[in-house]
Amino acid sequence: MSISSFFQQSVFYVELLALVVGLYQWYKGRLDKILLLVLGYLVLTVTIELGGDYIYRILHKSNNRWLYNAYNFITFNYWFLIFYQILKKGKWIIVSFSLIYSLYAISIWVRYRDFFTHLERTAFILGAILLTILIMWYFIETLKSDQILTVFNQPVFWVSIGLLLYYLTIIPFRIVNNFYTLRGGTDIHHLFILKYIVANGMYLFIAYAFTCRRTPIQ
Amino acid sequence: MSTDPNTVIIITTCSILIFLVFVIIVFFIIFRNAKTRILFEKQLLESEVIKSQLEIREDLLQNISMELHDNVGQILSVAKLNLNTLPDSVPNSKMIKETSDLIGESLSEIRHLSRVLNPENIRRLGLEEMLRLEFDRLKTVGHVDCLLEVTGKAFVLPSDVAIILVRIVQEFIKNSLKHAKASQIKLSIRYHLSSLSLNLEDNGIGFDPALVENNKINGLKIMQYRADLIGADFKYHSIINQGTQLNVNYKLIT
Repeated sequence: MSISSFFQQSVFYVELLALVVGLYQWYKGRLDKILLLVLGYLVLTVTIELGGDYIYRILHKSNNRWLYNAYNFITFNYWFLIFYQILKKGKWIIVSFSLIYSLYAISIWVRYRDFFTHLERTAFILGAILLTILIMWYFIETLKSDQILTVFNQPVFWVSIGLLLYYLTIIPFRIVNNFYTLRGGTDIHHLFILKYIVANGMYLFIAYAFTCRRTPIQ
Repeated sequence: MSTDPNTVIIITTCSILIFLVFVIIVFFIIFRNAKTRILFEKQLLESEVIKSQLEIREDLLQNISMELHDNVGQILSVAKLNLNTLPDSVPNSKMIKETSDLIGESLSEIRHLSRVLNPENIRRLGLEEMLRLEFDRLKTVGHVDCLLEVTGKAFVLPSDVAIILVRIVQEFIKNSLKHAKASQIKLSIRYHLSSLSLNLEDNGIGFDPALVENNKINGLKIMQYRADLIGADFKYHSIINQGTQLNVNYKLIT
């Protein structure tokens, strides 16, 4: 097994670990509304991973790009919804972000008619940038409020750190990936290792968020 | 592995971004510590201001108490003496006798009030005796049923603590009579091995605890401030039309 495929497979297991931790905490009744939404994201992700793998392997390497396009579309809007619940001010901006992303993604699919054939990259980059802005916004809101006093006991903080780690790293990765794909031929396979590492990091942060103890502000 | 410069650039960029995430965490730690320090200093300042306000108030009460006792009390004593020295033959002697009795009652009441107000008396008499005096005064003038119960082996409290506890009880009584229209007030003083608890209860109209959170009930906030000053636990419970209970628990510092 190559290093790349080892890390690729590890992402699924770490993802599964985060899901198991989340389900356990849910069973114990320790999840609030936001964490329930995050758990929903993990359920969706694991389902899609299994579904995508099934389509690719079992159905004789059938095209599963439509599944990941749909997944990315749902995921970004799902995270916008979660941040809509988290952030206290400027909710209309989050709605605008969701509309901008959705309209852009749909317009690309309609224009190039490649929803079923190509993995959409530019819409992903736009979604990641908008999500990164929301994470930064959450950080600023936290810094300004008394929540800062117990920030390390706030699950949302660790979820945001995980997301920031992943999406901030994935933006340049996707841009370069796009560039090499358009140029064609160059092997950038080793770069995927970095992507898998940060994905593992994100799921570990989410798993930690499920377990971290919430402390009320004194 | 390819040595393409673009690959090196992207790996470096990604590494920097990952490093940035850690910088954010460190930044949050620094910011949190700074804010904790600022809040602590602010609380300290507020506590000092409240302490000063209470000291000023205690001084003022002491002055009023002394004025009542030494000045007003003396004047009333002289007035009563003058009336008593009038011969029985003067007209309206019955009314003069009644007036003299009224002045006597006022004098007694002023002396009582003077004792209760004076923080020096709290220092001298102690918490339990002072609260007995307060309840006795209430029974005579307040038209309210007062019950005082003491359990456990009594110990001497630091005078500053005793003053604050007496003021909390006085504030509760004032609120029970003025706002809650209570007809019965119960006080139970419980001495434990290393702590003291005061349980106060009235049968008044109660209040909505949400009003306290919205800063609409000042009396309770003042009592809470006082309890905070001596590091006592302060709990209250009230239901509309079912009275109010207050519990102050003070732990002795050993």
